[in-house]
Amino acid sequence: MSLPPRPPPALLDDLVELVLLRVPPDDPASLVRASLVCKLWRRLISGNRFRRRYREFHHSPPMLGFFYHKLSGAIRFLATSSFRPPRAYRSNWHAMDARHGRIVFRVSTTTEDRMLMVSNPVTGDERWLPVPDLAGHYGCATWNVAVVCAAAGCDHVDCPSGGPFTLVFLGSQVLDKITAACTYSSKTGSWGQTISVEHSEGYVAHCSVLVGNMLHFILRLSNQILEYDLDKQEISVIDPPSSSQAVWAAPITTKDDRLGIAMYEEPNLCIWSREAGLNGDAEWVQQRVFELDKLLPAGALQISPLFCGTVGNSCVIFMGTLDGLFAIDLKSGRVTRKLLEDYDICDIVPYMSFCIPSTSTPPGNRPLICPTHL
Amino acid sequence: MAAPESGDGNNGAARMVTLISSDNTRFEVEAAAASLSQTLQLTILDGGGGGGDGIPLPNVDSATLSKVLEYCIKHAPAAANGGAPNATAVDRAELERFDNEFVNIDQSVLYSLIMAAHNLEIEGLQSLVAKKVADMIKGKSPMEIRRTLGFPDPTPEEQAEMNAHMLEYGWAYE
Repeated sequence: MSLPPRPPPALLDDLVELVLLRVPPDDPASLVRASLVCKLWRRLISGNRFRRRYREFHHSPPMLGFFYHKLSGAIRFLATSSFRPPRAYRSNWHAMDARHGRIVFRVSTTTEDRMLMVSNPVTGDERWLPVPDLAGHYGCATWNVAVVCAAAGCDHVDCPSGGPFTLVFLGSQVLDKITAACTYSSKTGSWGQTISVEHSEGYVAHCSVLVGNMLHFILRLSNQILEYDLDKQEISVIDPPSSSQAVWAAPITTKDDRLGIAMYEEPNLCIWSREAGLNGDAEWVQQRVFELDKLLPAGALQISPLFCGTVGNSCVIFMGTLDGLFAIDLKSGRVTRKLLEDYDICDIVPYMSFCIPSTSTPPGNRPLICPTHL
Repeated sequence: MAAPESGDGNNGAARMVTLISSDNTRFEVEAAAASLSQTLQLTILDGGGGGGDGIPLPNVDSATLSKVLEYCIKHAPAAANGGAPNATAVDRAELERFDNEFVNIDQSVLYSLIMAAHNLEIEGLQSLVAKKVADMIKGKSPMEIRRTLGFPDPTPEEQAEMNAHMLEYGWAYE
């Protein structure tokens, strides 16, 4: 008769950290479950030391998933990790931008857009604020908003969840060819002064990228880039590469962290980067041309693909086609086929963050300060 | 009988060192392989471990040490190239294949290995085994992790606390 198997020896405490550091960041559910194994593991995982070592070990926050909208407007979250947002997102919410662990939604009512909600889906922190007056003053036909961590000295690898943030709000008045901008500081809880800039015909479109301390937005129609300096709170216009006859354009970051622009010139996606020219002035230099008709399946380009969004600083562009949603990695030229089958995807907002359980109240248990009528 | 080594190493032949496990088994191994251990590297650089002396390793038994050395011998050439710009894709694939098979072992051996790798400061081995144990956690409930890793059954108090936390992190259990 054989003896029952001996239970394995318990893992030495010293070595627990070595093991837990190697739970992949795109599997936060395993890390959460590990944190419930025992008190020691919980203390270890929620401690500052582990948090610091975990982000050093993994360098940059993973994409936990992305919010997307169908042309009908309904908001969805497609998880690309084991993370699931702990709260339901309502159909009148529209994901505008995500950066540094936060996401900003526009919350519409039947009559007008009037609230913004800044959320950290990992911690459940939420902040509601009104859309600035700007929209009223300038009769904005369209607007966009970007969120940026404002914690002093933060390297933005794992921004403090309760820390300060800045919103940059841009509204365009199409007829006057003007875009106005103002900034919200969570430290003061108020919107600052409004500034504005003249440009060619166009209006500010979905998507923004941060390069250094400059936020960049794109104007639909003219394909000009609006550059917002977060330090000086100044706004300026950058003309697109002059040769271009683009159907659409999107601001991107290049692999060496410069400003770039991706322009769709049927059927090619042309990538340009902003470089210092011989006389010291910045100029556009073409980096690469992707022949989409060779990269995408036949039939996908029967009508022009729709620009849907980019992945922060990872040089990835999402495109909606008749054949479904595709992602193209501008560094490698690799195409991720059919993330979604739907042909009617529009705005995509990827959400990148570490998700490390902390000792504070987990999501789902926080009181929600939400205007009751929204 | 091998001639005692001269202090300043070798004449073409690889320098050998002797390691002695906690149960007094002697292992003769190339210094380059043993030097994957940061701890041993210092002793070896000081000229230790040669000839009849040997380096005693009171915390590592012979079964574990033989496994550790199997890893070191396999990885020593690549380590000598310093991460090896000239390592071919084939070499790397072969090492990867070796690593995968290497950790496909009984859990108690894995634990002895990770402890030995920790004590001897063999970074690659430590990382390899830790990754394997992390893989074993993947997809398991806290209770299953406890059983897998040999925790005793939780007390009713611990169980109640676990249940409460599970409720709070419902999304991780979908």
